[in-house]
Amino acid sequence: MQVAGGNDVTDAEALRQARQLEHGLIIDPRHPLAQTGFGRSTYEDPTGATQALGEAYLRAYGELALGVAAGPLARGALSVDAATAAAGGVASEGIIATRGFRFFFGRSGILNSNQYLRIGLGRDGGNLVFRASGSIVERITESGHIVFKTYGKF
Amino acid sequence: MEYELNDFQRECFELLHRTVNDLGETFEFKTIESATFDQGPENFVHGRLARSGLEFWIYEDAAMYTIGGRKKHFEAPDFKDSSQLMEAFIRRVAALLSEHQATP
Repeated sequence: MQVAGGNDVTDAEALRQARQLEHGLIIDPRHPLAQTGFGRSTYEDPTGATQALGEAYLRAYGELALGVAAGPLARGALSVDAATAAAGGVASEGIIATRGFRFFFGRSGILNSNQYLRIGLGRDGGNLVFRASGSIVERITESGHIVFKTYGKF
Repeated sequence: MEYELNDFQRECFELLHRTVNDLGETFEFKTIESATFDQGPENFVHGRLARSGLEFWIYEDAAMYTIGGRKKHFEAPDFKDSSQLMEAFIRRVAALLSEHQATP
């Protein structure tokens, strides 16, 4: 198949080029501006206050996750992950990969999916963050987000 | 790697594109980037406008912008549906661009 440049390309590449033309977009995930860690450089936490708060929150909920894991609700589903998370210091990057953490704070986690107050994983520019958002947070900050911890590019 | 956008992203970007053109702004760059968010791959549109410096991201179910150190997130649970989210995002961006144009 030939597209755009006249060279032989795969179907996937043809599709990619067609979309590029359709949207007038440059497709380049390694764009230099995408590598700058925008959220980190622009939204620094000079006093470390939000970082400390986020880590305390994560520790507290790590213990909660462990409690839930011991109950019948989560038996078999959360126990190993939650125990590992709570024992492991909770605020580390590793925890976000655990099922227990995601149960509470993941994309549709039970603490991260209502319109009033959502606490959990979110995106901030090109970064994965642990943040609070929702209508309550919007009353406090213009951005609608309070970022507790930035994990870097997601 | 597939750089596919969902309907929300396409429509939102098209509306943004139109708004930017209507207001006489231009894109400094616009890209489709891909990353893993909460265990799953996600493509998103990322771009920046030349004059105002407004930078934007259109995710699978959300959008955000930053301009002059201010930022604003638009997330799905805060809106009745994706059309409402899109409208709020575009209206806000249009208002900011108009504001920027009016500033000497």
